[in-house]
Amino acid sequence: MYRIFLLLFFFSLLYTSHAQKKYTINGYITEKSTGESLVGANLYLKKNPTVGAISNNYGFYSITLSEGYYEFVFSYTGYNNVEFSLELNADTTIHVKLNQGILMDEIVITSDELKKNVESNEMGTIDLDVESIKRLPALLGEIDALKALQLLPGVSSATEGTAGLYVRGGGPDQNLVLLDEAVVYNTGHLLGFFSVFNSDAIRNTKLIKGSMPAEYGSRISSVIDVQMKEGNDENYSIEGGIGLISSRITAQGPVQKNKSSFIVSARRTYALDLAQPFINQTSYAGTNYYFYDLNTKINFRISEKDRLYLSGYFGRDVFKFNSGDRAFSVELPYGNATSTLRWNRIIKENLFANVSFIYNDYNFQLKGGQEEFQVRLNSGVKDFSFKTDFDFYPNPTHHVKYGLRHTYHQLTPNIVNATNGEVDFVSNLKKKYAHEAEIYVSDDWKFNSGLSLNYGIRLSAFVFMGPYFSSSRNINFSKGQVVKTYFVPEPRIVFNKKLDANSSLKGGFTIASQYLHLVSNSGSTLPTDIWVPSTEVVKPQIGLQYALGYFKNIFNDHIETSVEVYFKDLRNQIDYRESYVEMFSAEVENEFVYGKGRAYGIEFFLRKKKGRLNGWIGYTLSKTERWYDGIENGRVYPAVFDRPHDLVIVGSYQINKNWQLSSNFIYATGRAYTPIQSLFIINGRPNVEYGPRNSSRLDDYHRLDLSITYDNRANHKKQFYSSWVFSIYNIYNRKNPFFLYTDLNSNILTGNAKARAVKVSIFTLIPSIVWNFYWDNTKRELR
Amino acid sequence: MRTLHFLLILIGLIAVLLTSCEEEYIPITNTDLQKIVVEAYIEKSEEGIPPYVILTKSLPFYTDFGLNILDQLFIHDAKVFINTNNQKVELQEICLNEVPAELRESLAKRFGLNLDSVSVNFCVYVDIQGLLQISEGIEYRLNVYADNDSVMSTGVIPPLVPIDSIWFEDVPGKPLDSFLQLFCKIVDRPVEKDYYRYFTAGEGEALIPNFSSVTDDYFFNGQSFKFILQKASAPGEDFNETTGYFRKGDSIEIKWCVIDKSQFDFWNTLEVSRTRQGPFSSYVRIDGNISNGLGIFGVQNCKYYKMVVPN
Repeated sequence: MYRIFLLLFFFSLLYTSHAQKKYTINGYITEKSTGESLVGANLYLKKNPTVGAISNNYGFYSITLSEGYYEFVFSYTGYNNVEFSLELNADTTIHVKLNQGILMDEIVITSDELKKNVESNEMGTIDLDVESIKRLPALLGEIDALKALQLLPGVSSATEGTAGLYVRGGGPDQNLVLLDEAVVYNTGHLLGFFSVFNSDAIRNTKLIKGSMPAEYGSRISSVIDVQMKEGNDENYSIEGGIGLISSRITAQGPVQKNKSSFIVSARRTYALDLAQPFINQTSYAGTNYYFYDLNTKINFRISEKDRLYLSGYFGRDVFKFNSGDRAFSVELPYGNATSTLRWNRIIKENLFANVSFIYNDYNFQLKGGQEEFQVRLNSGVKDFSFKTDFDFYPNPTHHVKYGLRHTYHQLTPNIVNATNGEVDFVSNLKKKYAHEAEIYVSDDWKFNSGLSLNYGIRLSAFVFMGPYFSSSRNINFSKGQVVKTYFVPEPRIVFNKKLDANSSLKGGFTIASQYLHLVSNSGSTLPTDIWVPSTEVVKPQIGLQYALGYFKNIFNDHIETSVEVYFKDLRNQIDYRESYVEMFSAEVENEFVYGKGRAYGIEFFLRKKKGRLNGWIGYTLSKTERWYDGIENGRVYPAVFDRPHDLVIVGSYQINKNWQLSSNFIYATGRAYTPIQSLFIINGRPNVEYGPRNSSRLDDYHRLDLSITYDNRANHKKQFYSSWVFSIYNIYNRKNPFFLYTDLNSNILTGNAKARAVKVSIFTLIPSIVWNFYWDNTKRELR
Repeated sequence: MRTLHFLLILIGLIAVLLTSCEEEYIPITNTDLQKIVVEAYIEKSEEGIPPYVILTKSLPFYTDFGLNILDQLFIHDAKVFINTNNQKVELQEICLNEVPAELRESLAKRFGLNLDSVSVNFCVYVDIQGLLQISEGIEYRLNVYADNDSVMSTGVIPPLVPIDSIWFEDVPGKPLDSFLQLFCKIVDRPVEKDYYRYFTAGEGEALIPNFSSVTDDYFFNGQSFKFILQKASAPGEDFNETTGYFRKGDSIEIKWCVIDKSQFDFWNTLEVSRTRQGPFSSYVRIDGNISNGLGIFGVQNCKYYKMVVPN
């Protein structure tokens, strides 16, 4: 597999065109005021806009043209264009800095940006910049990138208020969530009510829900690629916010101007911290809950061709419960730590390389007990990864990407240590080890002015190692011994056929594989859910996705629309057997059942980016089903996150230079659940007999959120400004059912027993207020 | 380790209940799918409790279970047989109201009932004559024929693993002068997988199981192991500072049983099903061992311990 990669590398190193003399112009496209790389910025020829290039994930662009005179245009959403002319008669490096558009006036969207909907080869891909996310009304004022993604068609949440995502019928573990190229295994704080992403540290969030490009893999449903800011290499700044639940602060600036910069961003909750003086007066002294996130990054421009980045994320939830009356205490610390060391090098004028070393550690612990009875439980995932990616631009009609990734996984199942003061117990469950490797190659090919293709293939391999006991072969594999190897070829193809200047037809087919699985026994993902590898018993999940869409811009490209149909065929799906209860004694893979799934639907999307009023409307009509031989004899049932109807309307209106109004309306079919079929009496008490899985629905879900923002940035020449965000979540107080429970705690035989079934709604009308501030050491003009 | 899941649910519920509201509703249940419910036990013990079977029907969801509903609860005139390779014994139905008054209390207590709190005419099928021979290692087969329907089950009584020692200690944490905590020690069998269940009774009370009454031997296989026996709380009893502890001076009783895997799975899933509620929990289907029906045919080897809580 690696030989193919070497072949590609040497080919691109040695490739030269022998036609008319050609030269390459390349460089980085960055934001002028901060030095941040601009991903997906456009470069095109003014007199022939069909010839151009797009900056890669690291802000690098390259275009090879015949010798001659050219007028170049560089553009990016929300920024003023830069144009210049050049007599191209040698390889040239030009780094371009773009200025942000004026705040008050129409948001600067160039026509080529608006045409991206029609002309790009991307399907089911949406970029959400942080400014767009910050404009949205947020629960308790907490801006959240993952919750913002839930407002897009084809994306739904697990339960009200949680950050878990279900994308086109795929489960939450089927989303590849990346933070600066590091996989994030647990994306939620407080059981998923808040995501781990601090919006102040984030530059861009990209969601790919269909037609995953070949450079992405390891998950079968979607990619959520979150990129951290790199740090302002021009000026120092401090920004932050104080809210009802948490506060945050971010500091960034140059270490050496235009050469290196840093960013440090922190967030912490404090609700129970404030209550500590009162809690400490009770028998629950020491009980507390908080979470924090720390994002750090530093980068260096070593030379014209070399850049080095080091970033890290450390986040933790800490729950402590202490009952002095009962001498009982428990602690639940869990969280992610990721670290990425990245080197970018311009190898030659049309060949760019990225090399990354990534460390990733997700860990969950439980410690607690009563006097001499103590228990300690550990679970988690630790990854060591190496990846390298190349962007090769042989000519303006091809953009070739290729690369490889190798990850060493160490997975800890629920390993328990316990003692009763006399006997110590250590679980005999062992850590699991595996190697995962991928190589890929793809080409973005502009076949002609009316047809372009993105085609590629990803080859993935997974080697599961011992220690492991194979009950089918009755073999005990020692550490490092190969138990099972899987190899999956994953072709990817997308075509774009332009029908006219404003519309196109796109279609795509993707095969993806997944070797790590998060099998959850709850209605939403919990930190107690454990990641398991593919073994000789647990097969890799495979996803095949077919998509076809019609994309059209109307009203002079001011409004982009699309209609996209998709079908997903999901194989080797995993769930727990019926009547499963967590028992730390059992090898969890022995509790699984295997089956299949399918998801299909049609998504309608309309978006306006330009003007005082902007936003989008998304409607999805879909179906998501699963079936397992071991569950109800293979009956096909709707998945818990099946939402046949899903409507989202998001709007934002700039009233004047200081005031902005935003609103969301969401409507979705009620979540599927397993209903009570009857009660039966055991030991004098009623118990529930459940009906067929997911055969009932909760009431439909809908709510309206509103927020208004006052931002005094435009009034101030000074370096400091602030904003206030007032928001109301669920303004008409809709009591959306969050969960159901029963209270059957009575003795039937007394003759007057009672039973209750209750719907619980949360997050009924909730107002919130957040104060945000910003300071930097530059002067600005009044706007 | 259900505590772990329970604690996580507690965190979530704290977050949820800060801004939540509740609305009662009545689930729509399908009365056409009524099933036979069996609660049957064969117990090997020195107490000599005869094998018995409680037969009821599954119910629609009611918010109030009045006598008019409960009187229809029990299945009468069923044919109930327990077979072994050597015997076939038919159980006879008796109802509390038909039993002479002087025998009612002892009979009720045998089935874990406090006669004072029983209002329904409780009926049970019993091996009245004690014909069935009760031994370890024998497979027992239960067959029930009722209402044009039939259910069946099987079980093998496991060997007894008695409590090795039992004693009281002061309660942990805040001192409670009138209460003590009960400990016991057992020596688990090293090779076999063992499953345990226990019941407790306070002064004058019937033996009842705790909300978490079963365990397997994963943490102490083959070892001498000490653990706490919590006093069970009756349904509807509120949690307070004395919950789980025994009052000094009370005459109490402990029933300690070794059960088979199917009974362990039944109580394990039933007890989790009762406690696992909330937004982050999925349902738990109770894992009974009654073919074509609901409930449990429990075979068990038990020992009873009576003692006075020391002052």
